[in-house]
Amino acid sequence: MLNKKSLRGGLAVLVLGVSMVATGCGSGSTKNVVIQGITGPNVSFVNNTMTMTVTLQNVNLQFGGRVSIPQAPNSYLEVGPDFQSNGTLISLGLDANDINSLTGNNAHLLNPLDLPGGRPLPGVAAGTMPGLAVQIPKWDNVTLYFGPQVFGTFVPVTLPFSNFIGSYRFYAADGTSIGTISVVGADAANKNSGFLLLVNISGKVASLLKTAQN
Amino acid sequence: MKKKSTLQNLAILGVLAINATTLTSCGKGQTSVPGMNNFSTAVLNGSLYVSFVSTTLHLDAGATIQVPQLADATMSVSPDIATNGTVFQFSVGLAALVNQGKALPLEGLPDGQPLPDVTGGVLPRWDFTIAKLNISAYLSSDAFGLFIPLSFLDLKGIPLLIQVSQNITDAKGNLLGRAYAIPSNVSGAESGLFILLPYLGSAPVGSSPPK
Repeated sequence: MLNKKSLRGGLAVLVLGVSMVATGCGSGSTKNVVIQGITGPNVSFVNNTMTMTVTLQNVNLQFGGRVSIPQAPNSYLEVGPDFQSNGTLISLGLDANDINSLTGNNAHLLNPLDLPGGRPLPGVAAGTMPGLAVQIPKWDNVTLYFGPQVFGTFVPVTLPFSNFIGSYRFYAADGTSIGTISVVGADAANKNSGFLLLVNISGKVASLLKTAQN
Repeated sequence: MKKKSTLQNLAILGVLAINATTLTSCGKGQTSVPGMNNFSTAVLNGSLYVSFVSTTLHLDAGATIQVPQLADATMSVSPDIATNGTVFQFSVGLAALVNQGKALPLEGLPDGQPLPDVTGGVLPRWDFTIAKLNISAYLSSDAFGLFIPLSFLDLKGIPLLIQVSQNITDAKGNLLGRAYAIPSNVSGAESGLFILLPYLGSAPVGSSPPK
């Protein structure tokens, strides 16, 4: 797990810097919250692949690499330096066919998983989703979730607080709700902190996936 | 620890206080419990897990915190990934349900009314406050209950006048418990959502799989 002193200051500001926008009814503000220390998440569709990227601005990795994802032969997870921000870029590329083979009616093929350590997934009514773990050398497992309508990933990062999870909805440029990102503090065992990114693959994302396959 | 406390208080204060007030300004759909659906209960990693979705409350930010002084218990109010509603989640360790290390007072609802569908109308009650939201958990060897102060409005914006309830079932239709929308009483006490999950022995009667 990443444990950088420089991360602590930035991430301490991270949650404090989140602008919490909440509305009572309707479709909400459709504006993304700003999480200091993080750029993104950004979601794009290129060459039949849905790519999700998150940049951790205050994390400097001395290594990087790309690993394959079990049961998703055309997809990958990549972690490495971000040369624009001097931080770390986490990039997840999911082939449209892989997504379709692991979600929808096929989601039951995977075991239900909660957050690493056993806490329920925030924002998911059932608290669990079908998922699998991806081992990244020199790092903890990255967990991927594949539900009937939701895809997600948990990236382990050491955070300077515990027993708290902040969850924030994020939107595409046109105001369409894409999913949520959660800042997951350490659990009671002072472990299992990180970021949880969930993308609703119905609606707009589904149409983009369909377009990508054509 | 101060930093953690500050982080938690900032977020929860915003989310839960907003929730407690904005539900009163929403109201569409008249299901059994207005504005609520997808009630779910399960046993996850040795903890009893209860959740439901508020369909009328839209939040762009939410929080999950540990319930003060209640071991292995968390409370979460988060944007629903599947809809534009809000997910309420409560998790408590099964051991904590029946062994708090001290006797809890037998109480009814916070406003003094008897608990619905409970013989005698009382159960051992654990009260706690998150930000300014007073929540009651009922912990006994017979049942688990949870009361969250909320307001309910019908399609015309009129506050709920009568108690309504909705069964909580698993995917096979087995009855796991019941959710009640409790209206304010004549003294103006808070209305709220009461969830009752009876079970036998030390384990819930059943659990619902992920939906």
